Amino acid sequence: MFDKKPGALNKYGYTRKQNSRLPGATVLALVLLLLFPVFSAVAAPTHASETIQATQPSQAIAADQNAYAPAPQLTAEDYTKVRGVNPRLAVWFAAQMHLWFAAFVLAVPIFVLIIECAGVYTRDARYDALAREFMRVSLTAYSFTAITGALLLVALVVFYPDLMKYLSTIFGPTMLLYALFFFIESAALYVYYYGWQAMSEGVWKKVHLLIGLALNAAGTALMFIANAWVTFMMTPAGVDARGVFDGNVWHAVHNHLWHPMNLHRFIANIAYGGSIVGAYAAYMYLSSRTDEERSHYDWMGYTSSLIAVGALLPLPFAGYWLTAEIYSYSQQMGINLMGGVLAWLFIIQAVVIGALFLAANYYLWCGMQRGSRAAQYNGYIKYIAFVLGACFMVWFTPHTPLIKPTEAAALGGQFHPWLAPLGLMPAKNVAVNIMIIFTYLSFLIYRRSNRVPTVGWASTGKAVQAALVAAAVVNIIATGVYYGYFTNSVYKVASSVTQVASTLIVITGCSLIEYFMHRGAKETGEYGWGRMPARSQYALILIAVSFTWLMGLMGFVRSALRQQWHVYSVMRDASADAATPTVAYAARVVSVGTIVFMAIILFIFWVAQLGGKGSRHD
Amino acid sequence: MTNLLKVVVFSLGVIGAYTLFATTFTPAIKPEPPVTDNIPASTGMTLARFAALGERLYNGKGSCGLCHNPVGGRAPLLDDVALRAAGRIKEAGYKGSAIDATGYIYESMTTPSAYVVAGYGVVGSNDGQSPMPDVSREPIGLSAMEIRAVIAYLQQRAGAAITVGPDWTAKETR
Repeated sequence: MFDKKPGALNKYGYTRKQNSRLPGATVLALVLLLLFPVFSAVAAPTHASETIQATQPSQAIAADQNAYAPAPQLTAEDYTKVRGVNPRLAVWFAAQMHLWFAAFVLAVPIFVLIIECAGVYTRDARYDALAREFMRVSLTAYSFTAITGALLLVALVVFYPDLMKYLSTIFGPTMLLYALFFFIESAALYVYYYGWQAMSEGVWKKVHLLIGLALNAAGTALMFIANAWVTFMMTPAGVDARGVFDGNVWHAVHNHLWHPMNLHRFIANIAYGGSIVGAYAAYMYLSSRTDEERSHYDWMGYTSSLIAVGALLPLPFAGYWLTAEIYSYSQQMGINLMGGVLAWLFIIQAVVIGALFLAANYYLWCGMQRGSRAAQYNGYIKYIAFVLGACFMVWFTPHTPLIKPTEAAALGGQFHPWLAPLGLMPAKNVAVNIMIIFTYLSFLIYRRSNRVPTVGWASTGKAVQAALVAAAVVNIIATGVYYGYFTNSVYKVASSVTQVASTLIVITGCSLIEYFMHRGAKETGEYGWGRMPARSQYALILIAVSFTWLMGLMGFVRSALRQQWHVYSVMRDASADAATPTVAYAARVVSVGTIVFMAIILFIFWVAQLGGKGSRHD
Repeated sequence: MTNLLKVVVFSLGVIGAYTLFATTFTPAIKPEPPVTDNIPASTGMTLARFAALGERLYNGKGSCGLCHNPVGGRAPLLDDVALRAAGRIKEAGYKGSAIDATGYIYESMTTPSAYVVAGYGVVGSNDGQSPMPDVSREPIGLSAMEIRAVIAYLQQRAGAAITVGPDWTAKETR
């Protein structure tokens, strides 16, 4: 996966001639980690009414045998009022800050462990040094995660005491479990980081890897537990229509959205963690004074961006599953999400994700210039850019344009005759899948910018790759148009399955061909790490900032979906802030949050830089 | 220091651009405040006013139009449901207990799976299960009086005679 980097052993612990390919075992480990939430999925109630029906027998038990009360019916007087403080804003801000830090610190140990494993497998000291540097960058963020978590808890208890009381009645045992995993994670983190040097050889290295595994297991468990609480608030289970708990905490944990949310957050966190570390590498690259430093941070930035973009590619699929499950639980909730007042939020999302894709591709195109054969592939860039641009425009085309009454009269209605079909989900599914495939193509030509295959079947292999891409694009467009516009709504999901399958087949098939085709490939020159233009580093910073902003916006959507309910359909929000705010208001809140978060991240980078100076002297 | 400044300005520019797009280029739709209280309907209300109340509920608290609209195609249109209803209960796929058109509409709102229009069932249920919720339960939570008002509106919309007033009760079911 990585390209060769010539040179002698330097202060970062790698030689310039060492091969930095990420081994298959690492990829396998990544796939297993990604698929873990799917493996753990067992049949959950499939529909809102089914969930309620499933709890009907428990209702009698609740009435006769247990002491669980219905969800409280609140009035505006039940909420704590503090002069000058907007309760919803306080909780929103604290929750968002906590989620950003938590996503970062949960993600970094995942790919740190994978990179450390790669170092053990390849006996390449660079990986170990890189993994340790990633951990150093994230270390300060753990404290901020804990601080913002405590702030969130205090805000919730102060401003929404009845909600917290109701939730803790149901989730009490899991809250204790959460505390336990928090201690395990903290202990594992400190031993993992501070014991890195002491456990660097022989059997101790294996012990160190096991501690890293424990760190990740505890972190992932923490996220799954917290996910159970927030998804219960959206799709409550284990309670009857009045909110009476049936006494089985597993029913409440294993609610309708738990698995999709676990998978979506797991992947998103990896993408996010990669992007933040990428921004760190970019900043350090821009500040580097020597070629050696530039070379190191260029490689670090490339690795981070590969992690971020690698996780970004399957993210739309996970998001699609999550959305499909929301529709499956409650059509009303689903339509509010995609077709109601929140629908415009997805146009904003399309703009941000489009910017992410364009930035990621731009970074890869700049990266091609590290190789000696870049000129041979430069011609393809304009075509890829054109397709990406076209898909980007389809993705952010709204179904209902912003028009004046006179314009509507001129159009003959509220919808534009040609553009309105592009505003529907099937068109956007086509655009997303093609964007993913063409981003993958950028990666392919990037890989070829410094090597020539030596196998005799290279031209056949390339032809098969081209055929795979062409067939997939045709299939994606044809099924999208047919199922999206010429069949009933319920069949639209069918098209997305074949589209996703096409995209995955292209990525898997072409990667396999590429791998075998380039075994023993001839390097055409010295790979120029550190030869990236400064503007390429701003692409990495844009990716990190965009991810942060997007996560904030999507967090708002998830929460806003409950509308005026603390716990959907069970416990009503009777506070003064029960109404859903406008998208513009949410965007402003998210922007302020992003600025504060990025300022703290800069502080963390600065602290990491100080630590880095110390460790280099060591 | 110069690089730090450049990075900060660039990041602020990106955040500013997203904020500008979100606040300027999207419609300023203010979501309606939640409807919590049942709408009172006096027994002396005229049928026309009762149907008008039903229309308000149809588009507001009942959120019926979210699915029953020509754009999304997620649920059958209700323009002439009051005219079709009598025929529905004679169809082979009908599993409910209504004995007249009005009873069928009432049943459709509280027990939607009693009859599922072909092509609109939950995927995999072979049109045996409706994705529509029982509107008398939360999160919609229409009262019996409000459901009656919506039926009156649907009758008016279909051009049928309004037979459901505030005092209407369903006939004996079979």
